[in-house]
This record gives sequence, structure tokens and C-alpha cells, in this order.
Amino acid sequence: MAAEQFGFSGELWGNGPTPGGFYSTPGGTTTPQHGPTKHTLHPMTMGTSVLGVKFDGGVVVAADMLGSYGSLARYRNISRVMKVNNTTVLAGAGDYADYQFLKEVLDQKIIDDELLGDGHSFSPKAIFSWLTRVMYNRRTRFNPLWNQMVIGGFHAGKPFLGYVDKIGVAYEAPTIATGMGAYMAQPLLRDALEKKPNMSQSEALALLEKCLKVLFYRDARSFNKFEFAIVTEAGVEILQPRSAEANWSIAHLIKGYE
Amino acid sequence: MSERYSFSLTTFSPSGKLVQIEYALAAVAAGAPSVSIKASNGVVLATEKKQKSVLYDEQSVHKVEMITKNIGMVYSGMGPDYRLLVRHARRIAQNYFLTYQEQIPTTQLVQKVAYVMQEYTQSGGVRPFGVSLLVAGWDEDRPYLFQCDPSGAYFAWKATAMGKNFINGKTFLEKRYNEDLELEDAVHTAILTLKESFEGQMTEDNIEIGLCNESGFRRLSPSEVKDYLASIA
Repeated sequence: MAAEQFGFSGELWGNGPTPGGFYSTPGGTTTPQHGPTKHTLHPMTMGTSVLGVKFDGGVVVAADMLGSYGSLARYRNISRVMKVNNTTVLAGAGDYADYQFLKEVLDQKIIDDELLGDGHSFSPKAIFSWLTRVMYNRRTRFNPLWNQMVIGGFHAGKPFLGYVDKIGVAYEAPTIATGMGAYMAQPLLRDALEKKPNMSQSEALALLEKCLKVLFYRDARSFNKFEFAIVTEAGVEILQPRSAEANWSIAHLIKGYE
Repeated sequence: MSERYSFSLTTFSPSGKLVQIEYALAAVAAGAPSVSIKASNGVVLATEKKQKSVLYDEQSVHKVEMITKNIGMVYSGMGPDYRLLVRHARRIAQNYFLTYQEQIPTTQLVQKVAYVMQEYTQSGGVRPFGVSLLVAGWDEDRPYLFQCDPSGAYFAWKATAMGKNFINGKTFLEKRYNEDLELEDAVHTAILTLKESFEGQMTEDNIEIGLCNESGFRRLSPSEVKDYLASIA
């Protein structure tokens, strides 16, 4: 089209490689032959584990503040927890851009609901169900939101804790841990819950902090700065970022550690 | 919906009125009377269902319809338009449940149905609905009563009457209504309001009553209606 503007007729470039197509790279060509990429299946900046636990009178959800760019600890002050409304919080692991996109959509949804002015607000279960449908429908269209989302809330006197991921798997449980946390933190969470089924808020926070510390020691994509989001009858509280007291003094005893 | 016309048939008159909506409201006002009262512990819907001939099978067609377990509605105006809106409302309610796994709150349903009704006043090639709806619901431990107009406007009522003789009906209700009315008394009052404009003998086959309370919405059976009528007479 630019050629026509300048008075050229026919091709601008003939008998040679297609523009941009000088090299052939493994994993796909650099030419836009198939049009723009419409269904991204490659996550870029990612967040690691998200943890959640129910306690007596509420629920607390935790996530560290790191956005990893592959093995590079690139963004070290990003928030992966959001307040949805006065009864619900959401934390996202996985692709950070997809989490940000969902955050925008969900924020707008809450505003639109407010605008109806009928006093209605979404319960944690309703948000959870909506999110499950969204994630599953995206997966079915081969255009997933590459995340593992943890939804925590408190409604009608009961705490709520649920998990939804990029393929639409959704379940509720008294303890939830995604990613590396599923292997390292989940046993700790379940053990603590078995020993004390109705733990207090401070015990729940201490438990999560212990789990985050373990993850910092052993998860190569984690970071020692995290946020807690607590939901109780009184509403939502997202605490100021904090760090765990890590003790690396025995590290030199571990084979391979320099 | 017709795609042949791209322009709306509901257009402004020089005086600033949408004449089609005015006519639709006239169609409602010419329809069979319906009455609703919101009591402290529930809502009653009542309507006249007079058929033109004794040959009609009265119990095969209903005017009081359930939308969800705890929301019901009734109308005044054109029956076929009503049927469409009932189907719309039910679909809207089920879609809501599919997305949120929760029963649709009455306020949300009313807003969505009213939105549909408004669309038909501003879309190509369609006419407004010739019905006004009375929507009764119960959620979060309290009763709700709404009216939806052909224009798409909706109002919350404590008690109201629609259809033929609605002005007299409303006057009657204004005198009889009080905040502490219980559902049983509300049913009586509703039947009496209908009786004001009723020609002939009221029987369990020519009126319909729906109740909405904490156990949900239900349409009364003819024998239940007969019991209420007996206590009036």
C-alpha cells in the first residue's frame, strides 16, 4: 500500500527473501506470514507459588513479590494479590501480564456491579464460579490465561478458599498451594491444619510465613519479599510487604552450594 | 428480530413523547387486571383470568409464572408478548446461575429484563412489548416487588394494580395498605382489590394467585384459591 502512495506499481521487492525472512530460526519463522500471533501459548514474566489457608474466622492468602523473566529475577516489587471487593481477594501465579489483564477486567466488573445501585455485591463463590467459566472457556478456545489463581473470601459467616487454573481445573479446599508450593508447602499446611483445625489468624500468618521461608530456600524462582491478604468478617486487609528471617548459615554444609 | 429495518419504529413525536410506548401502555391498561402486594413476610401476585367462553380449558394456560425457585411474575396486557418475556427471564436467570453458581437476585433479574424491554424500543424493525410485568421475589431474607413497563422503566412497589381499572385499584390499595401487613392478610386484600373491578362471580378458575415468601415462589392450586375465596365471601 505504501508503494502505491509513492507512485510505484507492482512489487517493491522481487526475487528475494520475504521481508524480515533472512534467517530461519528453530521454533518458528520471523516472518509475519500467518498474520499476527493471536493465541499466545508462551508465558513471559511469571509469578511463582501462591499459598492460601483458612483459619477460624477468615482466610489468608500469600504470594511473593517477584516477577521472573525465565531464570532472571527481573521485577522484585510487583503485587500478585488484589482485593476484589469487601469479601474477596484474588492472588495470581503464572503469567503476570495475564494476571494484570484479569485484574483490569475484574475491577471493571465490580465497578459495573456497583453502578447498578441495587446493593448487590458478588460473593467469593460467585467470583470463583465466574472465573472458572472464564478460564475454562479461554482454554477451550486455545487462548488460555496462563495462571493459577487462588480466591480467598469470607461470606455469610464462612471462609472461602478456591483454586482455578489455566485449563479450568477448579476446586475448593481448606489449604491451597500452587506451583512449587504444591510440593513443598502443601504438606506443611495440611499437617498444621490436621494438628489444629481451627487455628487463629496469627497462627495462620505464622504458618504461611514458615512456608514462604521454606520456598525461598528451595524454590529457585522465589523471592524473600511477600504480601499477605487477609479476609475476615471485618473485611479485606492487605498487609504491608514483609520478609522472612532467612538463615543461610548451614548452607555451606550442602553439597554443591558455593 | 427483523433485520430488514435498520431504523427504530419507536420515534419521537414533536411534543417529545415516544408514541409507540404510550400506545403500548394503553394496551396494558386495556388488559386484564393484576394486583400485587408486598407484605412484611412475603409478596402476593393476583390476576384475573377470565376466558371468553366456557369451552376454554382454564387450567392449561397460566398467567402467574415462576422464573426461579424464589422469583415469580404476572402481567397485564398481551399474552404472547408475556410468554416471550417469561422465556427471556428464565434464560437470563439460568445464565446467571451458570456463571455464578448462585440464584439471581431479584433486583438483578428485573434490571436485565427491563434492559431487554428497553432494547425493543430502540432497535430496528421491532415494536415495544405490550405488557407490564409484576415481578415478585424473595432473597437475602426479604421480599421484593417490581413493575417493568413497556418503556423499559422499572419501579419498586409496596403495592400496585395494573390493567383495567388500575386507578381505582391503586386507590383501594392506598387505603388498605400498611407496613405491618402479613402475607395472609395481603392475599385477602389482593383478592378484594381484584373484586372491585370484577364483573360476575369470582371463582378459583377465573383468577390466579402466586405467593412468594422465604420458602420460595409458588402458584396456588385452584383448591387453595377456593379456600381464600370462601373466607372472603
